[in-house]
Amino acid sequence: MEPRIGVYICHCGTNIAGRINTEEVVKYASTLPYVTIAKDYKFMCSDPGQKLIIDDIKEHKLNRVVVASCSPTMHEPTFRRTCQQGGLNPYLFQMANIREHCSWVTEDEGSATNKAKALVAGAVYKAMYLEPLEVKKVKINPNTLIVGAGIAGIQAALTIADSGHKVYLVEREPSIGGHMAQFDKTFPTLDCAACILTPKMVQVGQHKNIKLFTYSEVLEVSGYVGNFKVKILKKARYVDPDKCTGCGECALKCPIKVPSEFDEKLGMRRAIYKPFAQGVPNVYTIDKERCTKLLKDKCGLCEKICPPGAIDFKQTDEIIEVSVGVIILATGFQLFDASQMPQYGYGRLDNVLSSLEFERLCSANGPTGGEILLKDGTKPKSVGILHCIGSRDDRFHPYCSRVCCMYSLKFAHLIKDKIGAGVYQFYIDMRCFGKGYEEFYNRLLEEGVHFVRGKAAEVTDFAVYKGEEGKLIVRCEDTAIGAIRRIPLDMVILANALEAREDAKEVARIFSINTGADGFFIERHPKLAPVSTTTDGVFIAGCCQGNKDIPDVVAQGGAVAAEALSLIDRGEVEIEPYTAVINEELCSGCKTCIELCPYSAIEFDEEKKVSVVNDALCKGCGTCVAACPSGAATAQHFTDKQIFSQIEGVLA
Amino acid sequence: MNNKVSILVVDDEPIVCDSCKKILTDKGFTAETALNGKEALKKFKQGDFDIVIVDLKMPGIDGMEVLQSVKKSKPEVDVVMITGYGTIPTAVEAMKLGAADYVPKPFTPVELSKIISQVVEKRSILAREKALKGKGAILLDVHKRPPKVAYHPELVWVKDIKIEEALDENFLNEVRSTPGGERVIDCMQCGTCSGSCPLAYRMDYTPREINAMVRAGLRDEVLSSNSIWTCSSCYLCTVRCPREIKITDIMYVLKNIAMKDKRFLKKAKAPLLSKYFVNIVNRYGRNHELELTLRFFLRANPKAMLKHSFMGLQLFLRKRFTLFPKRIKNIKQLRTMVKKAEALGGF
Amino acid sequence: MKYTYYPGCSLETSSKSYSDSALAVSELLGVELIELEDWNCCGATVYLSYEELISFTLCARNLALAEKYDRDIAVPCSSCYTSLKKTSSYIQENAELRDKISQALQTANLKYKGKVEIKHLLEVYVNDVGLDGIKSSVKRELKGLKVAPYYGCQIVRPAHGFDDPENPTSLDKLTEALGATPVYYPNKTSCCGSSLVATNEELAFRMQRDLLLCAAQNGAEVIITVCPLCHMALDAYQKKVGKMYGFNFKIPVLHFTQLMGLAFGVSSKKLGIKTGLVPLNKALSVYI
Repeated sequence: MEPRIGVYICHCGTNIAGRINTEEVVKYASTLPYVTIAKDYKFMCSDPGQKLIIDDIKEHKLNRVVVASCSPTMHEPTFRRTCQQGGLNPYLFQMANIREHCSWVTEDEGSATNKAKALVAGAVYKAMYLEPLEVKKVKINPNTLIVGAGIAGIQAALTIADSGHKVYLVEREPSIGGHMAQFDKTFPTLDCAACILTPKMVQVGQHKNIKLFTYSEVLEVSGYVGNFKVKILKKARYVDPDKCTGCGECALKCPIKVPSEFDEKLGMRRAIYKPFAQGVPNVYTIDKERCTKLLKDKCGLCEKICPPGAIDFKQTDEIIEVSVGVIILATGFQLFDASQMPQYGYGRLDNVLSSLEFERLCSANGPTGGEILLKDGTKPKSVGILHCIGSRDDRFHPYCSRVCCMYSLKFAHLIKDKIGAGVYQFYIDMRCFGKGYEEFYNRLLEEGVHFVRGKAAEVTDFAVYKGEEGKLIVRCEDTAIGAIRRIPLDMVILANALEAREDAKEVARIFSINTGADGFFIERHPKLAPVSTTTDGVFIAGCCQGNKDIPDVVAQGGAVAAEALSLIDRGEVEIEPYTAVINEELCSGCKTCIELCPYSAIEFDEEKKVSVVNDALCKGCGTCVAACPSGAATAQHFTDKQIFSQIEGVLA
Repeated sequence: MNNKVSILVVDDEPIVCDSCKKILTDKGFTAETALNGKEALKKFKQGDFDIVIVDLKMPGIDGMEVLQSVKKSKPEVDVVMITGYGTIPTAVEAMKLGAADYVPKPFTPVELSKIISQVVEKRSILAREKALKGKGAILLDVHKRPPKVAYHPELVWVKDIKIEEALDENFLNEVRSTPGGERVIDCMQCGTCSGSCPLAYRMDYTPREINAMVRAGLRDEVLSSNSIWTCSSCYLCTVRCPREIKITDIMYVLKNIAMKDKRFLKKAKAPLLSKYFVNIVNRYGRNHELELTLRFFLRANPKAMLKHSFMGLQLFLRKRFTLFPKRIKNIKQLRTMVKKAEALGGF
Repeated sequence: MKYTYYPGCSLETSSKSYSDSALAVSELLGVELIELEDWNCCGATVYLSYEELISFTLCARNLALAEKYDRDIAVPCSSCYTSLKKTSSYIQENAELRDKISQALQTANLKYKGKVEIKHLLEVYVNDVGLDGIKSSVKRELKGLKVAPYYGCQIVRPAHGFDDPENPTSLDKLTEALGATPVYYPNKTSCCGSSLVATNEELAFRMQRDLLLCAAQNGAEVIITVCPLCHMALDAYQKKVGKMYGFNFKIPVLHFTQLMGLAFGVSSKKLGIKTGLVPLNKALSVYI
């Protein structure tokens, strides 16, 4: 049947029409072979624009449609649906990108118009050879895998589990809770972090639809949306979780003291430990790097005294395989190491603390029982809080970490409340953007906190003037009053930048997603799809996508749960029919394609001695097509004939 | 604004007249045509045109004549010449006679529209200025300052309101075009540089303020401040700046600019030291500490010489300075090189 | 190990003892310092303040002359070090500058291809010879001698890559290798202000006061420097600084090569130990 092609040139407002002479392109398009009609319109993707196509299909009996407008990533699905509504197979549609590829990147109007003509011609020439294709539908496994059990992961897990679907929640640390469990109070309401978090943690631990894997990591992921197979490494805790009651007798007797990671190394834990008293699950873990029994086969006291006999030194790591339809990553952030900036004295001078260290000092379950103390055990009379350490800095992180201004205000309030010390805040800007945030700032101004507008240049212990001995002196320019200042303080708190986790790149690789230049996972679209990724079925939520405060993290946790449930509820997912097809007659059985396929999507039929593509796994990458020596493999929707024709069109 | 602009198109080829008319009316102007010079001048007298587009080469009264005629009778009307093959030199001549622009044939609608739009814009700006003048607005010229400010006769500049007209917008480019100066526009005014600077407390303007003043174009204030001469070139600001701005290099460039412009050399002593140092190095190829110290202190601070004479004697006894300079072998070569570098000028 | 030696103007006269001790110590470490023939002044901070292009050209002449030999340049003065290194990196980064300088060099029949490596003398000892090499040349350990290792500003800034710009350790380690004890010296990279001594004495003295005060507070018995101008500032002006602020510092200041020479057993006359203006104290006299 002869092709009857309808060509539509979109103006996209002034995005295209402002640079390209659309009339000329339309005139040119109508001269191309098999083009029945050529039109232009201001916004093809709008209702009237789409109606134009549908009506024309009927009126002019079109059997191919070409739209020259924006990028296929934006509207190819839209126009395919339009064709479907007009009664045409959606794969008889071809798009030409004359916006991102043409009008937005070409300065000269004449060149842009010429390029647009070439692109349209290419699309028309390809359209001549398009074949109708059917979408494949695959069932979606209703289970969800959530990696990371901080507040983001917990929120997502509870939302999905409450809907009746099953969730596998994997957490690397021995207890869930993430960084939020380390905080004392949260801004601006000054809610106690533990009080609002622990009920959710307990819910997670008890929920019948959540299978919790703590002290575990994901090793490998294979499959595709709706059908992922995940290998989880469950590290050995050497404690039987079914028997352990969390009584803590073992830790009291354990002779090995280790700096506690949860307390940011300010306090000690034992080799057998729970990260913090309210941890979920309420089970102890043995640190195999420090336990003398595991290292040298000595001691073993815990085993002897454990009342329910829960210690099991013979435990081994387990690998568990689960099948899920949706994966959510909520792996969170890490703190910038301020020892990379020696002028602030972190790690070198006493009483210079990072923000998380100070949170632990304030926390009731922290190393000082919630008392703010100097290293020598006394209370500080003056405290400085230094903003932007590692943030807004081209040498480390050009971005702003978003939460530090607010938590610095929170620290100021806590200090005033607990010990009434003098507080100095050294800032460049005060970023109080959220609900109740500016009001919180005003409250702090009234509490008598000294705000010095100027980033602290250095922290030194070299005393020059009377009153400076034994103190930490912050030198800065107070830009508001226009003077250089030396301010002696007892304690200095740094507002460290929040950065992506060290292993973010490797984790991204395991889940086939990407990290951006700033180190965080990349979302599909920063405005319209902040929790999706370009890999179908894999979503991201919380700080692993970018720094944000708890309200935004919880909102993203909910958003990602909605995305997951939307997929699961759909029941089945459509697979793009771009898969490769192998012509049995031409296949010589050389197996070259099988070795090259990155998705292991090709199988060998021993009976017929030919290769066969499993189109559920095939992603249409084209590797086998390029490699096949006998030309037996072709990619549907990108056949040689179609591509050569497209090239012809462009050069015409 | 558009529909008030009236254009007369003059060309001996009817097709040119018609297509121009179409292009112009599409753009929203009103247009009339004339097929020869005589008709054109007649229509011009009768009508009220803002712009005349005329072909240079026409039989009878040609484009030049039309131009001269129009300019004579109504000089405020703009004339655009259409030129063909071989008439560009004449077009240039026409510009000298007051033509606003020229369009070479063949031209696309886009090209013609562009030129006419430019002419229209210029006209509207002029009209606006005229209207203001017409209202009797008397404005001050900020560049005309009284020769002496009554109470500060010696200072190069005196504190006053900063009027945009008086700011030197080229100052920013001067600094930005030097190596190290490009990023001065990235300054976020955090104050780290000044907080680190061991001497900022004594500067008229701290390094951070100097950055901001360079961006604003406050050339006189920056160059006559003591800030640049108080910098000891320790590079602490440069190493700590979160935007990686090479502040010390900017200080050096400002010193160079100030030294070229003799107005700023009265207060500070450092330029004097520089001058003598440069002179000595250019003569010998190496520094001669004794000569430098003597010349500088004699001129800048003779009393200090007495204070330091004891120290000088101690150093001399310990053989720590020589009486005579050491001249390098190839001093002539060095001097030629310096002359060439000077001729090539700064950045 | 051979190096092209660029002494700089100060080492010829006011800091001759630095040059003498450097040559003596280098010989013992197997480092041959061959003086660059007909070198000219690097311009330091003073010429650079006058006109940058000419100043860089002066440095470029030295680099072009040194390029003829297949050796790295060893520079004892921090100011010369920064000037030469800046010139070298700007020539590479900035095409316009590169072009103008090569035009100027051509009038003197010189060409600079950008292939010379510039190292500070401290860098040569600590990185090329190595701390073990230094330790093995020590004939007499300076046990118990409290030394304040003063780096000054231009040896570590702008980030030359040799040592940390805020918290360097190479000189501290060298001091330890000599058997002495480096004291805690948080001001070790603060500027000494010697570029301002002539033009703004009060400010310069204030900067020097802080350095001497810190050394005194931490019990230093001697301060070692890596730059002839820093030495001048802390030694020659020490008495005046003290007078202005009511202190009597009395801390001798040595070039770091002089200290090395003492540990290596070189005669104190050769090292020019007594050429400093601050008299020696008991702690040091033990080693003379």
